[in-house]
Amino acid sequence: MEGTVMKREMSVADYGGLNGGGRAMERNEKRGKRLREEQHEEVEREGSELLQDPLVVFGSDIMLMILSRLDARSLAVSLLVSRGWHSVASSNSIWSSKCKELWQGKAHIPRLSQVQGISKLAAYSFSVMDGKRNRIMKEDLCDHVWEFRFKKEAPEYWRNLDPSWKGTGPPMHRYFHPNGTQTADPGDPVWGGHECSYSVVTSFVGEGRIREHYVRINRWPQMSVSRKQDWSWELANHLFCYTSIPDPEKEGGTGPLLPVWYSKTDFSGHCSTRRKTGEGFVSKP
Amino acid sequence: MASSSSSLPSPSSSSSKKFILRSSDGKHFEVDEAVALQSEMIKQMVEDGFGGDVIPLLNVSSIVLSKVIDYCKKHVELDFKKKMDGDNEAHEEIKNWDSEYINVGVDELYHLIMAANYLHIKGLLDLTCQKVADIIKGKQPEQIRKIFNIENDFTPEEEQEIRKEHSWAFE
Repeated sequence: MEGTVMKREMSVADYGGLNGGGRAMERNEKRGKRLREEQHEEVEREGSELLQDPLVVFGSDIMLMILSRLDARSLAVSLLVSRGWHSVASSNSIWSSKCKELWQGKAHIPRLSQVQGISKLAAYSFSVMDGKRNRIMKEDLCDHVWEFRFKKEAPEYWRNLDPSWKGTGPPMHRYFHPNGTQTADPGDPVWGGHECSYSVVTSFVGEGRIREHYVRINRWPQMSVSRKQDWSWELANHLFCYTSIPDPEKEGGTGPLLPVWYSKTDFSGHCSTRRKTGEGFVSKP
Repeated sequence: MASSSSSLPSPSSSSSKKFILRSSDGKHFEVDEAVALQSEMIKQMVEDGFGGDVIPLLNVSSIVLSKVIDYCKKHVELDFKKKMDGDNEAHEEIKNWDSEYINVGVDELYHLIMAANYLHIKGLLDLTCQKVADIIKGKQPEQIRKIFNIENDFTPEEEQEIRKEHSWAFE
């Protein structure tokens, strides 16, 4: 068994490699005789159904070709096979195409994934985790422009003011500002010109589980928060509804800069481990 | 494993140029030019003027070479068919033929990968790499290690860290 492994490695080293075609040929010619003998032994062993580490047998170039054919989940799982696999499976070239696929058609691209110097693998993982986040942050509110519509249940008077209900114009827009105020476009049919303020309420129980989470504007009925498949947000109560307008083209991404999907305790623990090991999310230069 | 392959009915005329490929164990295979040129390496050799009577393939045994030639022949034939009958039908036929072809033991699969890489036959390399990827797909790290006889060289802490960073993949 030991001998078999060694043998296989040797024969691999003798192969020309993907781009080495002609040159490898010349080189190999000189070693022809020796090779031929080895090849013979190689052929004799045909039929032993024992798989060996493809990374060791074929090297990292072909391993990259193999791994690049995996779906993102399988690829991420393969990170854990061994250190050798980890170094190939975390390569930017594979993950940048996975990121592209993932971001395709999404309404918002998380700011976390756009940080300079971050590896594409980290960008992917951040994006997936952030996409599952149902807790809205002030940054999300402020980074996006929001469409504002009345619901069917709203009093007719309000619905009649809403151009998207009457089909007389585009939906109304709302803007959240970092100073806690909210505004509308000039000439907005519903906007009364009065001062508006918003708050995001999140209450936790126990190990950072969220008990209650809503956005409220002034003292109006609180709006529950939900997230759609394309990572866009919806804030709604029985009377009206806010939806975030897609802005994937925004330079540097949108939303919070810190991962907020970890529960409070979990996250602080995570941070300290990271500082200790000094590696992980950011790719090495 | 005949020392010269009988020429199958081929879309390219029987009078087309022939190449003789010599395997590492000294067996000769006569193939049509179009078949030989499926290999980018051979193509490069020919373009570089290395167009002797016999092309020695020092890294490919006769067993593997004959299997590789099967692939090249079929693909020349199917490429021709694709041109004649239109894309859809041929595409389906290629797919079916490929999946039948690649249904081989692991040892043979590994040899095919090496040969496809050495001979630079992109289609065959894609096909064989895909087969290995299919073995890996959907499995847990422990299963993958077991299949490929790989030793886990992570510390439990490192493993934990990776699982945490990419927890979405392990849910």
